[in-house]
This record gives sequence, C-alpha cells and structure tokens, in this order.
Amino acid sequence: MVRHGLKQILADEFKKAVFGEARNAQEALARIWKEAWDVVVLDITMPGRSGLEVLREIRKSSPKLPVLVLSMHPENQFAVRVLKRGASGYMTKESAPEELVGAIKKVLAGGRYVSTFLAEKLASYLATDTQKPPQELLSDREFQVLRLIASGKIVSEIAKELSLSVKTISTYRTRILEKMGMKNNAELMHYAIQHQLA
Amino acid sequence: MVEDDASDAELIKHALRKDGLLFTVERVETSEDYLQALDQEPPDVILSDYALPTFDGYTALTLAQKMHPEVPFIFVTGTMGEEVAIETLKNGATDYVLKIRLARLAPAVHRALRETRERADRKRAVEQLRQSHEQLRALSVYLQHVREEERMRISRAVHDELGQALTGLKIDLSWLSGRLPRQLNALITKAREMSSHIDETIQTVRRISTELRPGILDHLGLVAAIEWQANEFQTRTGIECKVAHALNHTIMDENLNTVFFRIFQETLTNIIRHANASRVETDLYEEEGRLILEVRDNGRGITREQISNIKSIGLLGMRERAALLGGDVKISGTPKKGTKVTVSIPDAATPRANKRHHENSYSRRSRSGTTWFEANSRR
Ligand SMILES: Nc1ncnc2c1ncn2[C@@H]1O[C@H](COP(=O)(O)OP(=O)(O)OP(=O)(O)O)[C@@H](O)[C@H]1O
Ligand SMILES: [Mg+2]
Repeated sequence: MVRHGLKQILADEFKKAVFGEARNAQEALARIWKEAWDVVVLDITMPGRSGLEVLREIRKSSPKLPVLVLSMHPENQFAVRVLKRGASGYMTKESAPEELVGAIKKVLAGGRYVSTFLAEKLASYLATDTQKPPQELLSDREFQVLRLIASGKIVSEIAKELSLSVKTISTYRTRILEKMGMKNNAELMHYAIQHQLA
Repeated sequence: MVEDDASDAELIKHALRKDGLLFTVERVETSEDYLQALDQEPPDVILSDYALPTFDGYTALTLAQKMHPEVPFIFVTGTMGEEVAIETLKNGATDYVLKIRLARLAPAVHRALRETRERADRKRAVEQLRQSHEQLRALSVYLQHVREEERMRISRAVHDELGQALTGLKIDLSWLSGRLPRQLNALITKAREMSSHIDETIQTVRRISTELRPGILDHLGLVAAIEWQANEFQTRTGIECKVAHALNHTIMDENLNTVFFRIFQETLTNIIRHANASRVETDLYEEEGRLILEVRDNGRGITREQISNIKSIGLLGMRERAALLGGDVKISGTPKKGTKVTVSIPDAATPRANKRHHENSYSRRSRSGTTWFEANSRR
C-alpha cells in the first residue's frame, strides 16, 4: 500500500524513470548487485535482514550509490545515526508526500537529505558546540584521562591509577583524540600545557 | 547401644521399659560393630557407655556426629566427671545419665526424641520457605520477561502496523488533494487539515511505541539507545546528562540490551525523583569480560538505610534484572556529593553472533509488509 503510493509520487515527477521493487533484503541486494541503479530508497523494517544491514552491504559493494532511508522510526532516534552509517538521507515515511521528490533530487546530485527541522537543530547544536573549547566536549572520565596523558603518564600507568584495563584506556584515548581533533599524545600535551589543564 | 556389660544393658532396657517405651535395641561392643550398625539404618537414639575395654565413648560420639548428626546421642555411664560431661555436651552429645540414676534415663530419651522431631520440623519449614522464595523469584523473573515481551510486541505492532496504515492514508490523501480542481478551495483546505491530523496521530503512535520499547534499542543497539535516552532526559529535565563509552562495537544482544536499558531508565527516574542533582555522568565500558554501566549524579546522595531498605522495590528490581544474566548492581552514596550506580554483567555469555540471530527474529515477527523499493531515474 505504502510502496505503491510512494512509487506513484515519484512516477508523477520522474516521468521516464524505471522503478524496481524488492520485498526483502535478499532480493534487494541481489538486484543492486546485478543491475545498475541510480538511487536506492530503503526501509529499515523488512522481512529477513534489517534495512541497516542492507545499508552496510551496499556501502561495501557500491560505495557511491546514494541510499535514502525511508522509515517509520522517529527522526530524533534514527536520522543522525543512519547518516553516520553511510546513508545519503533519512526521511520519515509520512513526510514522503511533501518531501520525497526533493530528497531524491538532492541525493541524486550527490547531496545529503535531512528534514528542515533536523537540519536546524543540528546547526544550532553545532553552533553551541563550536563555541565551547574542545575539552568541554569530553566527559569527566575522558577529561580525567586527558589530564593524565598530558601529565606524561603512559596508558598502562593510567590504567593502573584508574583501575581500568589498558584496552579501556586506549579506547578512551582514541575518543579523546577524535573529539579534540588531534592526532597524537604530543598534540594533546601541547594543548593541555597551553590551556593549563595538566 | 554401646555397652560392654550385658547386665548393665539389661538394667538400661528395664529402666526404659518400666516407663512404657516400646523399642528394639542393638547392642555393640567394638568399633567395627558400631560402624556397621550405624551404616545400616540410623537408630532413633544412641545410648553409649563412656569407658569400654576396646572402644571409647568419645570416639563413638565423634563417629556418630560425622555419620548421623541428627541422631540424639546420650551417654549412660558409671562415672563421669563434670568437666568431661560438659566437654562431651559441647562436642554434640545430647545428654548424659549416670547408671546409678537410671530413673532419669527415660525422661532424657523422651526429651531427646522430642527435640529431634522439632528440629526436623523446623528444618522442613525452613526448606519449604526457601522453596517458596525460589518460586516467587522465578515467578517475578518470568513476569518481568513476559512484560518485556509484551511491551516489545505491542510496541512493534503499533509502530509497524498503525504507522504503516496511517502513512498509507496520508499518501492517498495527498494524491487525492493533488487532483482536486483549484477552485474547490474549501475541499483543499479540508484535505490539508486531515493531513496534519494524520501527522499528529502518527506522532502519537510513535510516542506510545517508544514509551513501550524504543526502536533504537533493537535496531541501533545499546550505546545508541543510552545516548538517546540521556539526551531525552537532559531535554526533559534540564539536568545535564553526559554519556561516555569506550566500546568499539554496538551491543545488539536483546537480553543484555533490555537489562541495561531498563536499569538505566530506573536510575534516571530515581535521579529525577530523589537526587536533586544538576548533572549526571554515564560511562559504558568493558572490563575483564564484563560490560559495565556506571551512572553518577551530583545530588544529595543515597543513604545506607535507603540502599538496604526492603521497601526499596525499585533498587531490588534493578538487582534482580542484573542477577538474571549473572551480573550485579552496586549502589553507593556520599552525603551532598551524589550517588553512584554501577551495573556489571558478564558479556562472555552473549557472543556477538547474536546480532544476526536477533535481527532475523525481529523481522520474522514483524508483519509490516513490504515497503522497499528502488527508483531509477535515468531519463
Ligand atoms: N539517585 C538518588 N539520589 C538520592 N537518593 C536516591 C537515589 N536513588 C534512590 N534514592 C533513594 O533510595 C530509595 C529507594 O529507591 P527505589 O527506586 O527502590 O524506590 P522509589 O524510587 O522510592 O520507588 P519505586 O519503587 O517507584 O522505584 C528512594 O526512595 C530514595 O530515597
Ligand atoms: Mg525508583
């Protein structure tokens, strides 16, 4: 019912387009691998494997193929995370009548689609975040690890001090570097000294 | 009866018979015979001399304690110093009767038998209590499981089926209004109103489904769900809520997800209701094969009494949930500094292969029909 309606919306706009349908993950992947498509519109809830697994497969086999995820699931839970997993856009199904055509055009042109509402939210979130010094993005535990690294301690010493495993500390370190946009301990130490964190 | 003197044995039997006791006696003199007798069927009571030519009462007591601790053991002896008597009583003898006061024997035996019976009754009652505790616990585990299954089922049914149906309606309505002649303004306005009404209903469906069990937990995993929940909490309460995790993979195991997520929710609810905190810190990490969730608030701090209070059903529920997967919950508080809740569950029992299995089982249960299609817009 929904699939038919969606196709109708697109057919009205893209008069010469060819549509292929797949009822489950297996079928979808088989067609994507065999045939040359310009864009995939993908649901998350399907019989067989989840749409998110299909997305992962597509990213592996056809990294350039745009995938617009269209699902019933709430935008605030799913949109950003699905985009992070390599989708070109995320749209809730009920927005399709108004938004689907525009979104398809956008992802076909190589762009990304999120709803206006979410885009605004992300923008204001980014705005508040970039005003803060990067260490404010860290949790207390991460900040603690940062200070210990900056004080010249090695990972195993920090692990001992916080009674956590070396592996855990290493993962914290990676996350800290990621959040601070740095490449190595030396940069961290430099930053810490400059900002008198150590 | 451990007795080397046959005539003493007769006197003892006589004393018991005189009191109206009905009984049979097996008399032994050596440790071999004694052991053999104990080995067969345990007696109702053991009467033993203290000093024997080839055997001694003290050894007899020790052996009886080892083999049949529940059988009463009474020394019937010619002489026994008070110190020795007390020593034997300490070591498990029930009583002692001097041969010159055999009139005391029958009452002593009666009392010993009664006490043994009472002890057995008590033991049985304790055992029954333990069993019914266990049954109650199993029942509560079962109920919790059923409740979670129910929530999941309804959440999905509402989300997938109602959501799908409403979306279909909206798409059809939009098709219809797109074909209405321009001059029929009133109809177009009406269609627009209907459409936004459908949107609101879809939001309601989403809210109900998320409250029952959020889709993010099953589709995107535990870390995503915790982060999302923390964010919701922060928006709703204004209490800052940060999440740090040191995991490089998503946790998709359904049971682990349920336990961690529900405990997290309960912890946040407690923080809103009791903590008066302005900040919450959450850490999720793995440590020696265990998955650990640590939630710290900077509120008034839970007290020792509140932690151990049997009326703290919420805390009990958290512990029970964790225990279900072999884990535990540690709670501690510092006055005016805050409260820390640490959940630790072994994740060795839940290999990551579960993920595939889980996603399959989800889809098998879903009845959402098929809304998957590709568009090719080559012109
Ligand atoms: N974060 C916290 N800070 C301060 N006190 C707390 C905190 N969490 C729990 N408590 C105290 O511990 C008690 C027990 O908590 P518990 O969750 O078992 O019960 P509850 O929240 O009062 O009721 P419910 O059974 O509805 O959960 C609370 O009544 C409260 O006094
Ligand atoms: Mg509570």
